[in-house]
Amino acid sequence: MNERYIKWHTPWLSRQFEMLVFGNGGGLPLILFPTSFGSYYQNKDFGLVGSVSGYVDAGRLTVYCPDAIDLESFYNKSIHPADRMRTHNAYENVIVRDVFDLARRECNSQRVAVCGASLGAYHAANIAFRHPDTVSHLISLSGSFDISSFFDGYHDDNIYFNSPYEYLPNTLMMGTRVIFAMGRDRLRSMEIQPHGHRPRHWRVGQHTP
Amino acid sequence: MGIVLGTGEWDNTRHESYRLSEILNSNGVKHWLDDGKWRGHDWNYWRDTLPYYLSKL
Repeated sequence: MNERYIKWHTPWLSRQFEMLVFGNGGGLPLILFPTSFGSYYQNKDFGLVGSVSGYVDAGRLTVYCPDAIDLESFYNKSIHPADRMRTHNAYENVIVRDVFDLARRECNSQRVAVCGASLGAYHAANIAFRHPDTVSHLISLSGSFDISSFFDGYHDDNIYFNSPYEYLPNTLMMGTRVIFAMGRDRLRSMEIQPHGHRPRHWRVGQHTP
Repeated sequence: MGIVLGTGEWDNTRHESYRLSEILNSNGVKHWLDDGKWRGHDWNYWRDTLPYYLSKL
């Protein structure tokens, strides 16, 4: 199995970030997140990457194992709970802007698959639901999606929009058509354009006052 | 988006896969909730199921 160690300075965290990549940049790009307290080499060390080596060697799969920064975000009791989620926002940017972009470019693929076990499945699921235009498959292994205990009772909009149990019940997803319930009396239907997932790319299709 | 939520009878976070599955169901989002026998919250089980799920893509 071809293995690459990649280290780069990411502007989203203003520091170095590390990743292992298995495969030659062909087939389906699979982003594999570590579990709690795990690093970029965890999924290799515990044999999860090895379990799919047949697909990698056949050129049908390239596995990207990015680092995790949960100890600096969710588990970081030395910063304010709001900053724990802001740090996670920066991590999501590294994944979506740096890792996804590299994987899509290398594999010549519009979208990527995401996977993780336990808290790693939270990362995979949350990013998949927040970026459905760039994720083709979500594989959750013994997923743990409840992050409410990380914030010591504090809550804000940013935590809401990163907690699948909170935002998903108010988000109707049918294909690429996403309907957000906004407040109690407003419904907005937004269609996600194929090349972006930023508000300027969204078209308001329906507005019921 | 293809979604699979893998869990098992010995998975201590099994209820989480069911909770997410319920939300996806009520939103009309197709997915596969795979609740296997003799499976737990463990690398042995994850090493078995990941290649299995990839074979189903």
